[in-house]
Amino acid sequence: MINSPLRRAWRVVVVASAAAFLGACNEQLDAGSACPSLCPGLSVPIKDTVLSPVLDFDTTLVGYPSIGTEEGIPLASRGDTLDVRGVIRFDSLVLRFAPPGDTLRAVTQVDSAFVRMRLNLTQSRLPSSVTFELYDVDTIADDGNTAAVLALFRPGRLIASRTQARAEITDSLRFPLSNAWLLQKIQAGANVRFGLRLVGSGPVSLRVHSVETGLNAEVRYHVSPDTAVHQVIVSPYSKTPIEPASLASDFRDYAVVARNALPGAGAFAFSTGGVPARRAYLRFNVPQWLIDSTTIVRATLLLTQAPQRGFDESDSVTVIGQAVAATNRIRDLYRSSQILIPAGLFIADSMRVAPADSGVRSLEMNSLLRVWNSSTPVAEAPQRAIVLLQKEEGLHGAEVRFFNAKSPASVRPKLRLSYIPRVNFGVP
Amino acid sequence: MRRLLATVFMAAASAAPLAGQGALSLQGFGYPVGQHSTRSSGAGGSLGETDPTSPINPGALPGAGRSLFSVQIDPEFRQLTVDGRAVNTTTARFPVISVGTRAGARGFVGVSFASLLDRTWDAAYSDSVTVGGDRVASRVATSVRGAINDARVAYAWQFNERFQAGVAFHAITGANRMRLARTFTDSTKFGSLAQQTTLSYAGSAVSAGLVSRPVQHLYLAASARLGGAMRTRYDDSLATRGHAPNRYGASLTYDGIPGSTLILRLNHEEWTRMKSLGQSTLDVRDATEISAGAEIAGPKVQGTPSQFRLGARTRGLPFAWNGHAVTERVLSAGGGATVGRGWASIDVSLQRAVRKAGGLTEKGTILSVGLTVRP
Repeated sequence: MINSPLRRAWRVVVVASAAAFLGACNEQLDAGSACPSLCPGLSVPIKDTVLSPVLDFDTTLVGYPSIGTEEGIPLASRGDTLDVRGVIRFDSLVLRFAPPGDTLRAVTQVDSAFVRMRLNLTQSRLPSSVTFELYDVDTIADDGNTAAVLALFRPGRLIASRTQARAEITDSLRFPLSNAWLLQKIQAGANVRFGLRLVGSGPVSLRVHSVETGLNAEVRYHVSPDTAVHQVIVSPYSKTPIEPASLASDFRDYAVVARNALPGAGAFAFSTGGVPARRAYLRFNVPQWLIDSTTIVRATLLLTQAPQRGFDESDSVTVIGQAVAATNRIRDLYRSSQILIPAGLFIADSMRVAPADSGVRSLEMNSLLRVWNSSTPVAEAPQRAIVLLQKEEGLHGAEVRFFNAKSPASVRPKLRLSYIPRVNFGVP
Repeated sequence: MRRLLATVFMAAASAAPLAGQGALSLQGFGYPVGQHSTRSSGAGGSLGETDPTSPINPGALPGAGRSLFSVQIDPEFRQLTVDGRAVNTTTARFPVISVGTRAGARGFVGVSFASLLDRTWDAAYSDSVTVGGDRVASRVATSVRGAINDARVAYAWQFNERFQAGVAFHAITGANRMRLARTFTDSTKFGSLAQQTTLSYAGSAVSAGLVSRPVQHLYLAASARLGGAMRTRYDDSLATRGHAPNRYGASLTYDGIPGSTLILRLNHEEWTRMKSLGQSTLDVRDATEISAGAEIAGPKVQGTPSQFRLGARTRGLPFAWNGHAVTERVLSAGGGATVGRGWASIDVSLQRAVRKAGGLTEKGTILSVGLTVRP
């Protein structure tokens, strides 16, 4: 074959053109100043609307988190307004022990007994001095009978008491126990159930770590002078209730509200937080066409805060929203308000407020409306509802209130939507 | 071989990515490619009425000789200057594919597919929009893929050496697949938008044309296409109704100078018939095209004939920008050679287009490489 100059030239042209074309096929988008003015037909309008009323139903539910599931025991003593105490159960004392190289034998002596608790002083309120009181609150009354437990916080049941100046209070609290008292409990096969109460020279509140925080209280004692026999360490344990057995773990340590004099939220507000904590259940009525036929870009729940005067009124707390995962089959609102999509999912926003504040607060919930859209055809779709609660639920006395759907139109909850209608974009 | 590899490397490396963007030439339903073959493009489009591989004049088909298969690729490298900033983009096109064969001693049947209006582009840019009272940064990515195509079946008859004529039926079809996505920097508050739709087209047209030689060395060619009803469907729903554009064209060719052919062509396209296919705001205008060109016989190397072509054309584009008519001026050059002992020919053309509207200037360089096989 003759390689003439013309043939060579053509070959180069053809191959170069093919290479240039293949190179051009590597798609890569790049910004430029040509758009959007030169990209006609592909801009879509974003429309805004405010839905009011938007709530089909709202209410305040009390008693969260359920007993024993608090992330700590909130102890508080605010004179005649708020009194919260704690209970820690040690129903599994060591009754027998085996010295090294010897046989099992019953405990006949107790020495150096004490109970140790860990304190969480975050957001605590400490007067100049605080007295920690430890009561024996063991009773045969029903586990849920808090009145019976509270009745045992009386002088005759006082086991130990310790007064500390504010500067002396650290993150650890140690109560020496009567060896004789503990031995008597062991030998009788009885339960050790401590009631914990604060008394301060002024309003006082702090938290005691619980099993849920991983820094639970412990009872420690020696059962033998022999140093080869280890110290006994007992962790919280509850033998009751027997049925359902799963509840027993909730009663290992829990808070008991002796008094909360704060008046209810009333007919025109719903409430979050406080002790015992409140949750606001909000069920939405968003027009189906908005959910089905548009792309919602932004959805902001606008709430008007109702100022709340009382204890901790200036303390800032975080109010979060969580989507209800319960389906419409579950009619019990208290249960529905516990079956929630994890915090931060679909409602990533939160509100940092103090109870005494007022004004409009917002909560972004765009992702949730998209979930409602995608779940429309699902038979067992979740309720179109959210629950407002405090991030540190049950651990703080501050209660934050918002005007509800029965309030005047100017302050009732609203949903501000920014959406893109399904338009025929791209038609020149 | 070393030179070949170097050429491949440099060409591939220098090719811009397929990142077409909004451009003056891509307004409305897209860019009217012109339905010119590589050969005709090299002569500024002036050969459109007489070139059998350009599916414009069905009467030109007998000029193909025995039979033909023709395909070409036309990457366009554009540079648009907006506010002093240059935006470089590239679009690759396969504008014309033609096949045809003789039917009997004087008849010729041809089938072709050509882009009538090419609307392929991508755009990605950052902007900010007001959402719920807040100005929010976002990133927009849009793309359109597809074209309105002209599928033509043509039959031509050579009455004698001085006169040939043909008729054709055109199916005007195609689709634009459009995607629009907007994502916000703050994805916790703002949901992204992603919509994808298809705008499809269906219509028809008929055309007829002739090529005659009334006097020695002078050829007259003329053709007309009459557009029929046309519809667009948005996804599965009927969206709009209108008409395919009419087109009228004529050219004069003079080959009295040995080895040279001079051509002058006039073409008019009634794009306004498409107006009702778009929104009421669509600014569409009829367009007239004037082109002139020359095809000159080149040297024979090793017995292989070659041609050189030059041309120029000016025309209006059908879709205005911002109320301003878009004009286009093109200078072109090209060449061709017969290879494979006369069984095939390779043509190359390079067009330099300048488009203007409302103070904006867009410059495009269109490389066209065509292969025609005549088995």
